[in-house]
Amino acid sequence: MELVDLDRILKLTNLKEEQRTGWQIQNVDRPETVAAHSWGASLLTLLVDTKRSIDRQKAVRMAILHDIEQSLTGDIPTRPDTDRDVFDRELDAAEALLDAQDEMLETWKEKQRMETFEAKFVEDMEQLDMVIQALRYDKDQRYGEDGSMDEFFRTADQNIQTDPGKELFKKVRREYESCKEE
Amino acid sequence: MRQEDVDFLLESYNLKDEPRTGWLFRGVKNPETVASHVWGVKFLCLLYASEEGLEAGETVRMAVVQDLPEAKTGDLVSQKHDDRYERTDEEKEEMERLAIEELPPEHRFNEIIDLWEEYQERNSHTAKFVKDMDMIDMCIQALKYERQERNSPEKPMDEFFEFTQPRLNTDTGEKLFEELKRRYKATR
Repeated sequence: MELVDLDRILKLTNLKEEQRTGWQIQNVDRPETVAAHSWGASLLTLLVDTKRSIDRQKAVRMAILHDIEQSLTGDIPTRPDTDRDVFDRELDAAEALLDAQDEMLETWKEKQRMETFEAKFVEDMEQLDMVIQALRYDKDQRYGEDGSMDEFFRTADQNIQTDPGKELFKKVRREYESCKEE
Repeated sequence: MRQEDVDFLLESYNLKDEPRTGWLFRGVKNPETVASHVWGVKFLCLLYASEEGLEAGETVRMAVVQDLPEAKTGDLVSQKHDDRYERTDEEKEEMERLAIEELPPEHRFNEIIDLWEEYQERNSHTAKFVKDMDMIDMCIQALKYERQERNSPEKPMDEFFEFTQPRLNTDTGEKLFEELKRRYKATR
């Protein structure tokens, strides 16, 4: 990447203003942005004990980069694994934003392929970031009266694959359920 | 992670809602949050660490922790009662130190305290670089708000550039800054 390629950087930092669609659909008051979500996912990627070897620095890089394509496409509310078209659009966007010879594009693609442990772990940390945020919105009653945060827990329950991801998910869900009972 | 660590995470996540007060004072409505800013800093670290001969992962780990204490203390500028009162850097650091020392006593958290201290001391090349990217992210955002005319017309963003210029410590930071300042002047 050219040292001063500010046009691209100005575009990429639009993620600070792109609100997460999932929360918008539930009418959450002042929902977080994609950038804030990526911050949370990378914090978890740094903190959560994997109890097995992991290239943690690569994983953190993945977590920071994983949604950059959304600075061009916006936050599309579909699962990439079920929608080839979305997948292709995201790939086009990432290639437009990052240099082909750049290691970052390779890191972004490795995350999308979901084959390595690092990619699966980061995906789980994204899912966990989502449910922790859902728990916060639930505690603060920040969504519409007809809304519910249940579906985010269902989605995460289906998608989380790694042991450390499952372990933390149980704890977050326990907290969510005890809040709902009150 | 233990059950009580969920409490720690919930508290840290306040950064997703904590607005950057520098923008509020310029009249920017719904400004970026501290979490969004830190993401920006980390992203810049990823992009430019190699220009400084630094390991990107190392710089990013330091960037992750830089603002964690603010989850407890709030963006400290916001605690000014009026514009005449400024908290000194020493007071700010002391409050942040107390906050970071309350982190759960686990191996991974010890690492965070070490990284945070290295950042505070600003002696290492990595710490200086991360601080520069922190200020560059601020200038990028100032330029964007100015272009979008989101600040009050009588409150220009000049002082963010004036604050940053004498404090930069790396070639990469200075090169980026020059270009940002040039564009800011053109916008004004």
